[in-house]
Amino acid sequence: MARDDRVGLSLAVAWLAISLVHLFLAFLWAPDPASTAWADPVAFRIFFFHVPLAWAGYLAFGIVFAASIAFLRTRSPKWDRLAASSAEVGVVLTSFGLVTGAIWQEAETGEYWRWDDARLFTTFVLWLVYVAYVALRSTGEGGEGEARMSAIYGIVAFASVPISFFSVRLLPALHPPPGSREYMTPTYGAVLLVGVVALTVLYVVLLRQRLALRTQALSLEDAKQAMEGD
Amino acid sequence: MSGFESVSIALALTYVGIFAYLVYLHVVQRRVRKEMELLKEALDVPRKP
Repeated sequence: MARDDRVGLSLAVAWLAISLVHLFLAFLWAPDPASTAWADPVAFRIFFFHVPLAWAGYLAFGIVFAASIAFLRTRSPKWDRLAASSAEVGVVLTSFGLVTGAIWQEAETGEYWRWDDARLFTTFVLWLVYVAYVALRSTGEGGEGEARMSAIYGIVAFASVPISFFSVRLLPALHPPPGSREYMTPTYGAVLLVGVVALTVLYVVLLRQRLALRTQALSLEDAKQAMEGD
Repeated sequence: MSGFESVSIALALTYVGIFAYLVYLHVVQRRVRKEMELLKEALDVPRKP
């Protein structure tokens, strides 16, 4: 087995192990919420998965931002590949963050979606911004021009991350503010931390896989072009 | 939906979805590798004069 494959397998096993611990802590260790603010104490446990998913999405888009800056500074294609791969993984993780959030909201309020909720709306816009980025990357012709424009897009698009994160504090929202003392006990914080570690490892697993695929697909495309040129 | 149903559906969607994405990446990667091997084989075949 190649070294890269071994590292990938070890990370996947680590993710699986941390996820099992996380599931145990979330369902068997953490007590029901003491606060009466939650209509359904069982559905509240979605919180332990929803928040780490949102975190991993923000992390992925942060990497897009950093890699885009690195590409504009160095013009090295590796940064462009990293940004494009991270954006796709971020969209996948944010999609599950939105879905779990909607299911939790339905259990609490009877409605899956509220357009007047600032966090929901801004996170949906964030998701759309990066779906557009991924769609553009997958339909583009490639090359230096596309990479440069994508890097500029990746930097500007990152503005939607702090808007989504802080919207809950700045605008009217039903969504509970991050770290609110109403529900964030040390026990819940510990479970959440394990969840964040699990999702961070998962992000790395998915990113490595996506990055390897993009690199191979580009090599194949180059080889085909070279063959046609002969 | 009851709380139990909500949690079950949320977790099932998340884990099955992530697993499906991993499988998709793996399958596409295998296809690309295979195509690359075929291309290399084709390049190795000596051309007819």
